[in-house]
Amino acid sequence: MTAGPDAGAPRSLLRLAFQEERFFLVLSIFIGVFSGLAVVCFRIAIDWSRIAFLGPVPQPHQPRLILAPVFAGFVVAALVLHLFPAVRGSGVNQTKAALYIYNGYIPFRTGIGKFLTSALAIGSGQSLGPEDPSLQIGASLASALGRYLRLSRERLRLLAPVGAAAGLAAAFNAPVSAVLFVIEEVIGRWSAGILGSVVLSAISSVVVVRFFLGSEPLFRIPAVGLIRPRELLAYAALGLVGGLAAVIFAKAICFLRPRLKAMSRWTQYFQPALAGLLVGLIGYLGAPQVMGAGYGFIDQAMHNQFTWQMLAILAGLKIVSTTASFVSGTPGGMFAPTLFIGAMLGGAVGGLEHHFFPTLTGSVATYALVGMGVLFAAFLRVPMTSVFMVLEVSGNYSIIVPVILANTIAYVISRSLHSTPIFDVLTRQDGLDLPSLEEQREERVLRVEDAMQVAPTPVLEDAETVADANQRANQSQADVFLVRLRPTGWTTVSREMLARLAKEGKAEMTLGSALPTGRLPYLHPDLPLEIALRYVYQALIIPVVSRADFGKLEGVISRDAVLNKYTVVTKTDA
Amino acid sequence: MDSQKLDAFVHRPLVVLLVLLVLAAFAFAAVHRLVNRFGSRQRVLAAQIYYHGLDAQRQQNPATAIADFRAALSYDPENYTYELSLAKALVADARYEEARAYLATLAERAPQDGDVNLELARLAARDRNSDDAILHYHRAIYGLWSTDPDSNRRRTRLELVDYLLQQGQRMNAQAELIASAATLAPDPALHLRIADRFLEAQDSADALDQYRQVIQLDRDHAGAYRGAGEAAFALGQYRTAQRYLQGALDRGIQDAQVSAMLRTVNLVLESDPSRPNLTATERRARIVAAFDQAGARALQCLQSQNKDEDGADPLHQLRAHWMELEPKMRNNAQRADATTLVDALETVSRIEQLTATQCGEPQGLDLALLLIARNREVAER
Repeated sequence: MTAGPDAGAPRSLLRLAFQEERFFLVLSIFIGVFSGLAVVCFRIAIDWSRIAFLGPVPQPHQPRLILAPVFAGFVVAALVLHLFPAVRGSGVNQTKAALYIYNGYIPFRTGIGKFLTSALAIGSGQSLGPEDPSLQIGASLASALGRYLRLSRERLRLLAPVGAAAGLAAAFNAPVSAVLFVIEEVIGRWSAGILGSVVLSAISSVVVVRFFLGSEPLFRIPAVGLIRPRELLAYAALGLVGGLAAVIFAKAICFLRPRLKAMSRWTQYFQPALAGLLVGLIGYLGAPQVMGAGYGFIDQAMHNQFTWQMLAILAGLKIVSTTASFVSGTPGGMFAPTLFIGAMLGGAVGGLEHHFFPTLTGSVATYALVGMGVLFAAFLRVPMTSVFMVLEVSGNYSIIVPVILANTIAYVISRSLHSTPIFDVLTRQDGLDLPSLEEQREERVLRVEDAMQVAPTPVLEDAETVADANQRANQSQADVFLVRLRPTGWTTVSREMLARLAKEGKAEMTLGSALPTGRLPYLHPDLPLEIALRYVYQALIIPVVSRADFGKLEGVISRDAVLNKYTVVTKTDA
Repeated sequence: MDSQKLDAFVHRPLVVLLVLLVLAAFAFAAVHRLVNRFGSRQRVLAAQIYYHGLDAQRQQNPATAIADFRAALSYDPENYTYELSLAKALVADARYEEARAYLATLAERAPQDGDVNLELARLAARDRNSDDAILHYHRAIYGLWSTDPDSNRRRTRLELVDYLLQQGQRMNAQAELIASAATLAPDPALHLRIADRFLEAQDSADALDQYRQVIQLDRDHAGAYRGAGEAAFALGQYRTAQRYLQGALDRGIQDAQVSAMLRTVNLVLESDPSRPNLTATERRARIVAAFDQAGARALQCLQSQNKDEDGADPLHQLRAHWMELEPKMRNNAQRADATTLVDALETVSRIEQLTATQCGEPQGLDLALLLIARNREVAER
């Protein structure tokens, strides 16, 4: 398309309005709307199945707390094994795989399967959350829509994260966090090309959800804040504990999941039911809080409803129950359990610190809130999302310093003790290898300056005569010389060329007038070395110049230098 | 791109967007219907759970009540009544932090709600945040009440009065009581409550006025007679106090305090030399009797303190002055001049007031003389 802004013609306006890029943006809004509607239905389905399975007011010692997750576990296992094999797990990896491997293709059937099985599992009390399934439902809707509209492969590929952002934002009621999560975890790189669509879909889905279900947050946040800066030490301790808890949680999942998955097929029928039995027993014996997503109990923890000992127990039990539910292959998400564990752990650490240091001013709610961010950063390994999630959920920027401090400590501990992020481990356990933002951050980026060499002397000026240039060239060993052109620009000239120009009677002409008019591309030292590869085949040497003064030569780069650098680095890495 | 292809491209997205719009509208309508149906089902369920919670509350089972109210609210999150009941149940169960969060949400939704502001006032009072407490009490008083607003406002104002009295803010409490009294219905119980608070706020005049209104409405209200007696006693209107205290005893009040007060009142009336319609002889006799009693009281007080003779001690000085006056009073009382009598009466007053501070509140005739002294002082002022 090459339509220009020809305001006079209605047809041109139409053309402008329906340029593919703009059409894609409008489509993103529709994806957001449809995803929002799907998530509303999904939440209703979860609520309905929770009432049906666990009763309207679940209390300890009700037999249905054991029976419901076991029964639902069998049903879910049968559905997963026979009808929807692609719905195991959270859905984040599947969406990422669709983006990178399957050209954005997610079967619509997977979305339906995810909807049904997750609603059954979460509603019956399995310790999983609705956010990641919502993400996959949104992605599958977007994918189906893209296929129906016969979008290009490139666009179709991008639709999956757009739908994922919409689904997640609707489930979490937090568009900014959803967008950041999709960028950090699903897309795995910052891409300006898709950012607008992701934001539009996320916002439109949240608007839809709020229209139907109200704008009440998932949990009420009491007054939180940091009064004395020295209390940051207390939050640092929370970061430490949270980091360790996240490592235990992640290692447990990474250890058990492949083992259970490798067991014979008939055991797969029983695994969700056994996980349900474990979760149900925990609920029956006195901790029904661990069943389901548990947002209501996060709310209670925020409002001082549990002692710090009880909060610590709940955090531990939730790690156990979520691990069991997740590794059994039951469809469901990790977001809500992560928030639950973080809130309980944060509240417990805060309560304990208050016990020993009663003068601390931070409320239990503040610690619980920071704790949620800590687990998010350390377990899901999305540090940026974790900070914005806490800010977005609390609507309070006064706790940004404790949040960043605790999250960073937890993130560093988690990275040190468990090098690969949980979603990457899960992906590899499934036999896939997908790019990850964290790994990209780790990768050594080679720059032009790494392969840059000293420029051959002398550097000739375009005002010099061919004779003078020839004379200076004869004093050098080099075969090729750079010529600085005025006002800006560079070219090269070989020793032979100089000699030939002199023979042709152009000895008194300036280099600027005697040489052909073509100019060399130039590079800057900080550019990635990959960019140099595009140019080094155009000339023997390419000038590397200062960004502040294009006439100032920093060095030169040649094809051999670039290739040598890559060879050395590859050998070193190996 | 040729014209045909261009047209195809331009028109295809238009059609697609229109189809998507129609689809979205249908989906919206369908989900709306689903949400409404599910919502109404949940509201019915919420109501059932709520009433179960109310039963639990009546049976003094706060844990179940809170769990039920919470569940009801989770099924009907916008329901104001459930949220308020939950907040109140949490307050009753001393779970203040959570209650505060719910009340804050309710206050955002309905800042003029009397019930919510009353609960917030109580929480602020509990936190010793006097400014917030008074602010919320006032909001509750002038706020909206769903049922029986007059009674609720009056009850709230009385609660505010109690709080102000606890805080030692007597003047503010009196102002609230005056505002409350201005709009009272002719109900003896209401007037009695206001009168009691006036008495507590040390506004005896208004208290007496309110007790009188109770008596006007109910001639045999023993409590009102007793209160009126106490108020009159505090005002130094001993004849009035005598009448009301006697009336209280006649109407069945059996209280040692009332009897003691009546005895004191009788002593005051029998001993006060400044009462009108006394003959000169009787007035002189009363002064002499008071003078003797005060001398004995001063001596007793000095002995109880085991103080040596000390010319600088005010009580010793008073005792010395009393001893100077004694011969004039003892031997020639009937002919003592008015100056001597006034001096004697003044000495009595000063002795009784000083001994009250040094040796504790007196009893019997000494108490009567002290009250007479205070009354004189007030009258002179």
